[in-house]
Amino acid sequence: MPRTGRAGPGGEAGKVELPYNRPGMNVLGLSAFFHESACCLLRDGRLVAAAEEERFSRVKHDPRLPVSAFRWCLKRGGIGLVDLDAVAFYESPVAKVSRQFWAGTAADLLDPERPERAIREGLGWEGPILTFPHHLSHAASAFFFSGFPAAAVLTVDGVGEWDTTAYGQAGGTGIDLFESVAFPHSLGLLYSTITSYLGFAVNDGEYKVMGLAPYGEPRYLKEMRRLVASGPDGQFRLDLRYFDFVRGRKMYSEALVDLLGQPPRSRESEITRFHQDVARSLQTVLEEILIEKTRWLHERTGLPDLCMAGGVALNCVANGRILREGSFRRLFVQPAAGDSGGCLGAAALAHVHLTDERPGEALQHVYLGPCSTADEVSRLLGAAELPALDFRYREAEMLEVVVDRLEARKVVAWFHGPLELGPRALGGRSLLGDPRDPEMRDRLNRLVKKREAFRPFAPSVLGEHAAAHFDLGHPSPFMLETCRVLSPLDLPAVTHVDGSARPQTVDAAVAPRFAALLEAFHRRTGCPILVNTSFNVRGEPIVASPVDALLCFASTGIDTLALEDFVIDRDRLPADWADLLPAWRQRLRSGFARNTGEWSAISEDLYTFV
Amino acid sequence: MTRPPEPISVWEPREVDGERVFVRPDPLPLGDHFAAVKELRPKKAELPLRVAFFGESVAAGYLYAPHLTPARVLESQLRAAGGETHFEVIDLARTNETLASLAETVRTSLQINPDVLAIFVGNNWNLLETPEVSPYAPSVTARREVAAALRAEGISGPIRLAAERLHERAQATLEQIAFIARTVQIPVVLVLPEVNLADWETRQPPVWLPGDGAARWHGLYKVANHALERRDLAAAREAADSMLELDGGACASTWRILARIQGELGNPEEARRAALAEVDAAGYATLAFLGAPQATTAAREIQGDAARRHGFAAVDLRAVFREHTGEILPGRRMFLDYCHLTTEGIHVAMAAVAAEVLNLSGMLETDVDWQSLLRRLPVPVLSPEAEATARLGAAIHSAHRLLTVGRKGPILEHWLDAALEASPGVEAAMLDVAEARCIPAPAVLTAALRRNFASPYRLLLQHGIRWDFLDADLLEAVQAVLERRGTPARVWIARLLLQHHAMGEEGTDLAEPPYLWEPLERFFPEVMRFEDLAERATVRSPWPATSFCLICNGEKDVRIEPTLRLPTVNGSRSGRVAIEINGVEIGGMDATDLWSRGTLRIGRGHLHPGLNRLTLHWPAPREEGGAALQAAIRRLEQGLAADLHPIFGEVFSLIAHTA
Repeated sequence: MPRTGRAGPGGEAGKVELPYNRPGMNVLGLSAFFHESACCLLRDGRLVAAAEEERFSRVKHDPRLPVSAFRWCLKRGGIGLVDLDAVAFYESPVAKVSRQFWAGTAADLLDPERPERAIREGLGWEGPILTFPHHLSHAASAFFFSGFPAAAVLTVDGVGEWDTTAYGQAGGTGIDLFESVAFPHSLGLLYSTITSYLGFAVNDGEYKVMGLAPYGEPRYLKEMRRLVASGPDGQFRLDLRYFDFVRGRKMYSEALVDLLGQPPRSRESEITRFHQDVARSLQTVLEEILIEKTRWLHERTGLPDLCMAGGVALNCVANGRILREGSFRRLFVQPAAGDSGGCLGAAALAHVHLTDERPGEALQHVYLGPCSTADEVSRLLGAAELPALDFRYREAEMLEVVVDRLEARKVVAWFHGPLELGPRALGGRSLLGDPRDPEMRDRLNRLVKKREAFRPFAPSVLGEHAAAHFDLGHPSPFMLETCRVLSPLDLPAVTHVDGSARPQTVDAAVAPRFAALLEAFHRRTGCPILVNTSFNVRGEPIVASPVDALLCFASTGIDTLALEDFVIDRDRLPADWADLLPAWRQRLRSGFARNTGEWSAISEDLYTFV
Repeated sequence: MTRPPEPISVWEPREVDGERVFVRPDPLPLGDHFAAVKELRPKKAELPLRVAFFGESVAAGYLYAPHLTPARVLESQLRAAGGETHFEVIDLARTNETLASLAETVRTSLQINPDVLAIFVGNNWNLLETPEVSPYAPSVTARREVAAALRAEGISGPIRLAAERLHERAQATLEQIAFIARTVQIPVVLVLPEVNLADWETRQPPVWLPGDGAARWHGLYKVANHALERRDLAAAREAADSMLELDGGACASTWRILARIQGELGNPEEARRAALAEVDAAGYATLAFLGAPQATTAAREIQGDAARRHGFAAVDLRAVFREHTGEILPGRRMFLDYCHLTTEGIHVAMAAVAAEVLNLSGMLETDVDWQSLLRRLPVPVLSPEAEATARLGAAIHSAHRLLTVGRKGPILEHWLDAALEASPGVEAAMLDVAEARCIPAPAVLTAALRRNFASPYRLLLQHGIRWDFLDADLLEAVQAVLERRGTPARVWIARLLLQHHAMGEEGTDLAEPPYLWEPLERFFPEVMRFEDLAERATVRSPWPATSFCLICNGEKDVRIEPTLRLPTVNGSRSGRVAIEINGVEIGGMDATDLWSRGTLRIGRGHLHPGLNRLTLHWPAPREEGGAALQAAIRRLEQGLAADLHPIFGEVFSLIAHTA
């Protein structure tokens, strides 16, 4: 593979040294320009780095060219720009534009050359750019990192280019997507439409609808089945009279409002029984269709294992049912199943294209992002003159101190190791609490998360104890399926209203310190489980750096921060931070809003820049 | 039917004990842009006569507020001259004021029954008002419009377009204000701003020039600067005249060089004309580089015309300051920076306004002139700590905003020295600022900021508490000034830098933002990550040199590994990039328009402990400028953002390791 960048000469002082190259195949995967842009780096087919841009830019769901993630992936991989062999983009711009044109998007806004131009001009990349279809990227992101030698593949999302759903089978280096459902017939857009009708943000509030569903009864199944009808094989169709997303300015039409008989819910207004019932009905219909289609896919492929990706694959309730009630023996859902994870698939496909070898290996974890050393944290805390407890080289003692806090029903922010890829905090950037505490859910919401009270929090459980507490016969390291809670313990903080939970099973070989914490908590309390939710506040991305962690900790009500080898309690924070830090964060947030939104308000930045 | 009450700026209407009041949110702990006046109430009695005072950051007392504001100075002057109970001034000035919000604030201020409107604006009449006239505007239509103007008239096309738009918008706003004033029959006083012509410089490169004009211009720029350094004024003049011929007067920096030459020649009037041309030529119409808010000739003329047409009283600060100081080029005596006023500047400016208000009020038996009034007025009272804080703020602000044609250090050191003269205790604040800048975290998290906040030298956001750049010029100025006074700041700063920025095993990438020596040397939209522009993972240089901060202990050699290229619009390009450390060339690297990576060892003999300035000197682009500009126009016609300036070099990474 020719390298297009040139390794240049260097030398003794003033004189150029011999050129050098690093061996191996380095492919950078990239997804961008819709929501949650991200990058990953495959070195010789091995995933060595991956991160969403939002974690660096601090703009939630940041869709922009992921320049920071790009630079960071190269740094993490220990390579320079000239060591890259290819950049792989996760969708076909021309196909996407043709669909947008069909949907009536203003011609001025259609630009199939934008991704390539952005990669050339923005990233400075001179070498080959390989683009792969959106659903193929999703499929590859699931299959190549599943560890399965062969598998059926199902990708489901709102829309990618023309397709909204794709079915296929994969083995070795090949993926054959043999059937697809075309836009506008989309389970993702169906779900987003009802999400919007229920007063939540599209591409953000779908989790909330899923969390709301168990509170309701499926009283609107008949209506939901008018919205979407299953067809033969893998097909289904939306009744487009009820939708307005193709050419309109909102997701649903007036016909849908008439059908459901109540006006759409306004944002932040009261959630009623009706809203719960609509959510439940939608969730039920989605699950029915997915189970039916996976059964068909199983029949068609005859393969025992299933790989899934696409935004709908983040519906962990449906995933649980697919596994329990469907025909497949094993299910692998790529943990960054939304568009951000498309970069993994694109990179894997590029690797195959360039080497004819299968990339990837069974994804053991998603701790693929930035990390900080204890010394870096120590310097930061020293600069802040924070009276932190220093446990360097004394991990066991530190864990006992953290357990003290947890046992005292405190909320602990836990920051350790590399940042997770994907929407779930899995013990790298987590907020932890005692799941037995009936007040914990409200406390987490009041102090930090500020999210809707109906939304459940998830448990993390030591792998070896999982079966004793959850109806789960296999590891679930990525929190991507729900199951019944069987625990002899009362676990109100993590048990949803329907008796389900969305556990993460923790393996000491993969996350040793997090597992050791669970073990320490278990030893002390007899409970091997902790509440685990992401370390962020509503409207912000998960914290990435120690600075983010400190800012989030200090400007919320979190009781304790375990920052690598240091523990800081809230009552040791400087008193004036209570006023200063929220004001600082407000300024930052408004700055971001300006830079991503209103051109006319740039004046603010002229001054806040200084 | 009565209109429901409306907010006046940030003051929201409330009903308190049956009375309408307008209440502002509590100021943020880090400061905000509005007067620290909690409540505004409708006027109830004939007296005091109420002056509503509007304006931009100058009028808001930027860097002095809340300790001292022009509105409070004006009020105390009016009371001193016209009677303690006869006047009050309502401060509705705000930093970042724009025409649209000015008109709205004037209109809504009628709810509190002003008797006089005093308006002090014009410095912000630049990109804030015509942001769409830019090759970076996030609008296909706007870009095509810029393309059409460029195609028809060259660079003067967009400049004309921006000027026309500004004229229309400003005139319309002043018409609205005139209408409001006529309707309620109250007088208007317009304050025509003066700007800092002596000490504020605008360094901006020219757009692509025909042929090899851009390369020649930059060559001449270097010649002119070197000639000025050695006081060879004839050579400097010759070079500057050639630059002017090349850029047609559209480049601010050529005018600055001419102003400096004329100043050195002892021709202050000529220097003044050149400095005014510099202000007028500052490249807002391209929005490629950040300039400073300074009222242009056009902005002053628009206001002068409006005053004549509508019968507004006008206070021309240009004439007032000139008469007061005798200075032909107003400078640091009246200005802290490009346009913000010193205590004396505020005092004099407000005295001139007070004279107009007093004469309009009819409360004096005979009219008063500002000169005689000024002699009678008490000097504004300000604590030495507040004065020192403002001067330190001026140094910080200049470190961030000032891009000089000449050297930057002297002006920063001037303001630091001036701060220490006002109150020697401000040294602690300087050290706190330096410490906060050395720490790779938001200043708000540092103990240094907490110490500063607990001190009488509290620096608010507008004084530059940000964290993403090392602020090398400021660090150097602080250490120079404090060392001269016997404080061992150099060693202390070096220790802090090494503590927080020592090169790890992976090395330090100097192309990351904290290590850019002068962050604003880049294209401004890139610095600010504007919407709809391609994000950039690289550092592009629109200047022949780019400097980085290299931090080391000076005890070992350092190996650097640049990955760089020489961008080109068409064809190919190659040349040698010279590498310099602390002003000494130590080697170079051959480069082309494709990325190259090289390594270079820097001997420890060239390195200081702490901050070192590593500079890449790029070869000049040799492309045909007319064709390059045409290529930019074609991009704009496609609706794409386009650079109108040559790019000398581009860096992807610049890894520094201890060798």
